[in-house]
Amino acid sequence: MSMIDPADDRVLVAYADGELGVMESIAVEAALERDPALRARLTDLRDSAILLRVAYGPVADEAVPVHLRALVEAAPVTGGAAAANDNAAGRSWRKLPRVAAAVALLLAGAAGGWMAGTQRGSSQMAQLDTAMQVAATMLMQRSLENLVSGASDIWRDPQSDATLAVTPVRTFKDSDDRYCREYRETLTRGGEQVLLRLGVACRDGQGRWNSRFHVVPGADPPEELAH
Amino acid sequence: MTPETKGQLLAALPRLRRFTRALTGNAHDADDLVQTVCERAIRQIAQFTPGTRMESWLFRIAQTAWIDHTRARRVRADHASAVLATSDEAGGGEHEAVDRVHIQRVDAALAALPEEQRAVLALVCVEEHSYAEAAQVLGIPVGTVMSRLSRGRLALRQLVDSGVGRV
Repeated sequence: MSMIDPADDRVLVAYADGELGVMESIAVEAALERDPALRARLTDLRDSAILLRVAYGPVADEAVPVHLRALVEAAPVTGGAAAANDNAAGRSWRKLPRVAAAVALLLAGAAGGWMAGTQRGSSQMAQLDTAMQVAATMLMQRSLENLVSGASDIWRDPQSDATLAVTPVRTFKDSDDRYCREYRETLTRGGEQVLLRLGVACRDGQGRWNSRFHVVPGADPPEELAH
Repeated sequence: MTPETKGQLLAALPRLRRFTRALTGNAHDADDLVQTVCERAIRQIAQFTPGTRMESWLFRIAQTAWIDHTRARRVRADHASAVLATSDEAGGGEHEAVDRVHIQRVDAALAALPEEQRAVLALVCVEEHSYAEAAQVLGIPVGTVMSRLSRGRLALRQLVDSGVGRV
């Protein structure tokens, strides 16, 4: 790729994803400098990737349905000490369809981990009082400003045992050269942790983190989350 | 299979579920697909090269199985446009906070994209595969990964635009 065209969307997406070499990146940056339309396309390319990551990322944090784990666990293992288990594995394998059906029935009401977690999440959010909502806003500002990605800042409600946590998960610069961070917000109450939302916020000139967008996992938009 | 391989397979399940969730656009089809992939992976475990990325191998099986499935059922395209229409109506316009986007809207937007763009988006944006890795999983040249990715991402951004605002 010695003769690259920075206006080519294929080159631009590779730039957005850090797939270009240094020389090509410099060429793209020069073109971005003089072309606002190109900058807008770069923002769109980046936004769509963030959107996908924020929307589907939490699926990997869900508990794997029992019947799927059981399917793999029942597979026969070869060699060494594990060979003795082959017989038992074979038997549970044949029993599996019935187990799977029972599990499916159990899960039918919950519609999978994502929805179950979510509905709990939004009903928990509905129970947050005003003080806690204010605390959540302050906690988000503080965490995004001060924490390295992966670290969490928490706020404990003195009235209850509930704890809010905000964890920045990734940092990047948008095409306006502002710092943006993806974050997740969780609530722990009575030993149970629920995901409240995942979002992206960007830092303005005054050092304030403004929400770019966030995902509220779940089917129905929980009104109480709007602010 | 060896106990090590089984351990890798179990450990890859959460990422396999995430990939199939993005690929199929709904939780039900996703877990059905995971089940199919697991069954095939167990049967064909001899084809897995130890030392390579287990999830990439599973993603390839998933992609192949999903293509077979969608070819067998041509109804999906109609379903996708119906979902997209419903989600626009259900969006609620001014009542919805401008900075909020729901997974259903992303599902609907993805469903409107051609299957081959969807797979590249799921691999690169969700599973964070490099272009070279994605090309290997899908058995296509890197240049094709780049064109499907750029077209898919620009289209996706337009499709979800009504639900996503920039503050």
